[in-house]
Parts: sequence; structure tokens; C-alpha cells
Amino acid sequence: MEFYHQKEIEQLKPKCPSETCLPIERECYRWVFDSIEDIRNFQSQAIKNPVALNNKNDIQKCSFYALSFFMSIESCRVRFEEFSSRSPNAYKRLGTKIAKGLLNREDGVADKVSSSGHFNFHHAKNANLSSKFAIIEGL
Amino acid sequence: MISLEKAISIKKLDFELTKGGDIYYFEGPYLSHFTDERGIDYLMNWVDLDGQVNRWLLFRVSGKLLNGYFSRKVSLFELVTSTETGAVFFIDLDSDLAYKNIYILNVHDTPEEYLPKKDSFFDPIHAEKYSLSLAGSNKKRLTLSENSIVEKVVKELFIEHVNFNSFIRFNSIKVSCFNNPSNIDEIAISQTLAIPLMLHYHSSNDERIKNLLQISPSIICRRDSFNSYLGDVYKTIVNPKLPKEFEVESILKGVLQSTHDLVKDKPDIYGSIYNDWLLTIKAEYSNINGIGHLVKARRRLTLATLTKATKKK
Repeated sequence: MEFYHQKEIEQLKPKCPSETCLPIERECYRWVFDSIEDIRNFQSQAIKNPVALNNKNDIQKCSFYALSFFMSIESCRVRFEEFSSRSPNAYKRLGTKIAKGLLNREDGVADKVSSSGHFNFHHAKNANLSSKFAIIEGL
Repeated sequence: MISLEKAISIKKLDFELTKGGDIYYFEGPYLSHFTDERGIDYLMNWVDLDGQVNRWLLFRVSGKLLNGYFSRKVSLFELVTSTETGAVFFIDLDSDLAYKNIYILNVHDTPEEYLPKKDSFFDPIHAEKYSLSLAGSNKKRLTLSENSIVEKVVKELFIEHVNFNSFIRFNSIKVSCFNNPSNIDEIAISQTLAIPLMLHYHSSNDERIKNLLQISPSIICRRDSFNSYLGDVYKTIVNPKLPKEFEVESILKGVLQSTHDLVKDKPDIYGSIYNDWLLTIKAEYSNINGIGHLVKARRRLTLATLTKATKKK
């Protein structure tokens, strides 16, 4: 599978995505902005904020080339509220809506799901994620 | 992004920040810990962005409050609003992390949308690993510093009561000097001395006291001159001879004593402001090298004197 950030990640050590990342068939949720077509919705942090890659080790850089998703609408909302409690303007960085979609095996590989229901997803070059997700409610 | 109307724009910070690590992080930092060259702790919380910059709220935090935050007794909101300097910084960083704007603002003028919510308690589940090591090392630091009486005096008795507004008002202090945390001890002590000096000047019209009040804003910016300034205060309003052991505590004790004597003579003129001052420097810290006891004793005496004076009227 050719990843969206193939050139960048193939230079990283240890291997990125790691062996724990696997293709999935999973319904999941993601924070997005008002329109599903907003270019920021499915951009990795490495694109949105390339300077953040400075002074990072390869393991950290690897996660910057991934996208964040949540297993449930509740975990998506709880995590958003947590950021908003410290930074009320967090929506300007994270998004204003919750989108729901189905990730397929050809879309990329997912890392393990954390205890809070979050997982990193390394998306494939040809994955058209904005067409696979739809806004279901506001944050 | 909102404009910070009441803030003062400054060219640069007068201290150098070194990043310790991130406390909260999600596709980039949200809350990070820094220290300056003196080892003083700061937190930087992300608050806003526009097309050009990210805006961060930088504030000084005591080890004690930081400890309270990590043990979930104190929220992030309380950390910000009770920052010991009374002032916060807003820093606009561009995409290359270059400083574009720096502002200083009275913490009470902070826009609501830039303040954490009142229930913003530490969440260990989502916090970065760094926060756990910071919490551990901070506890250790607090324990180690317990033996330092001077540190206790400065941190717990005086620094907590530095008030940005009143100090600016009383002393017309230059922001560039206030901006430097290395002056915080001097600022705290100088503010504590301001009311006694004013009362003595009002009572005596002694030009030397007026001069001491006038030079206090510049003296606190010059650490090398500050001790001799304290000596001059003591010699002018307490005793022309300095105590054998020149310490901040003995200077302050002398000032307390002489101010009390002054108030005792004229309770109807000075009693009210003196009592407010005593309350401000909080008698709760009574175990600190006798100063607290002295404060408590003087307050009792003054109140008794005042009650007596009122009855006479």
C-alpha cells in the first residue's frame, strides 16, 4: 500500500507505520470543520504545522503523518470537551463538528486503540476520506 | 482573533524560557511547562489562532500551586488567575515559532475566552508522560525547599500579595522592570514597605522618606542597590543604627514595630489603613521566623487601641 506521506515516512526508523498498525474495516468518528470539504479536515499535522516536526524523534514524527480518529461519538465528544475546558477556542484547531465514516482496508492502516477510544490512522495515497465521511452533529 | 485592548505591548521577555515538556498534546502542544534561568516555573497554554499566528498565554506558577494542580486540588483556571505576579503574558508565535507580538496584561483583564474553565482540573489519563515526571520532581523540590525560611517568607508571605494594579498605582513602576521575574522578591518587599513609608512620611514630612518612596520603582530594578535601600529605610524610620545582623526579616520587624508605634499614637488617622495593610500581609503564616506572631500581636494591639479610641469619641 502506498501511503499519502510515503516519501517522508519511509526514511523513519523504526519502521513507520509500525508493525502494530493494521488494515481495518471500521466505523469511526473524527472532528471536522463546518464543511466536510474543508481542506483541513483530513490533513495530517505534518502538513498543517510542518514546523512541529522540528526536534522530534522518528517515533514522534511518525505520529505526525497520521490522522486521529475515535471509536465512538462519546469518546470524540469527551476528548473535545477536555480540550475546550483548558482552551475555550480549541474548536479553532480541532474542528466544530463530528463526522462519521467507514474506513476500509484499502484506506490505510490503524494503530492500536487507546483507553480513551482514540487511534492513529496512516491513510493511503488514494484514500478519498472526505467522500467517505459525513457530518452528523455539532460539537 | 480578539485584540487585547488593556494589554501593554512589549518588545521581548526579560527572561529566557527553556521548555521542559508538554503536559497536554494533541497534534501539537496545548499546555507546556517552561522554566526560566532562575528555575522559576511557567506554564504556556494555547488560547487562539488566526491565519498568521498562534496565541499563547504564559504565566508564572509557584511550585506549591503546581503541586495542587497535579493533585487535582487546584484547577488550571485557578493557576492562571492566582498567578503570583498578578500579570500574564500573551505571545503570538508564527508558523516558524518566531515571536510576532508579546503583551503583558493584568490577569483580571484576561478575556474570558482566553481563560480555562473553572472545572479545568488535571486529567492524568490524557496528560503526556512528561506531566507525571514533572509532578514527581516538583514534589521533591517543594520538600527540599521547606528548610529555607527566607524562601518561605518571600514565597508564602509576600509574593502572594503582590498586586499588579495597586503596585502600578502606588509606584508608577516601569513595566519593563516589572516584567522581569528576577525582580519579584524586590517588588514584593518594596510593596510591603510602601504603606509604612507613606504613613511615616505623612506623619513627619521627612523629605528622606519621600525620597525613599520616589526611588523605590528604580531600586527594585537594581538588585545590587536593593539591600542598601532596605538599610536606608531602616535607618530613616526605625533606627539610625542598622541591626547587627542585616537580614530582610530584621528590617521588616523593625519597620513593623516603628509603624505600630506611629499608629498607636494616632489611631484615628492611621488605624484603618494600617489594619488593611496588616491584613494584606496575612498573619496566617505565623510560624515564619516570628514575623507572623509579630503581625498578629500588633493587629490585636491596634484593634484594641482603635476600639478604645472609638469608645472615647
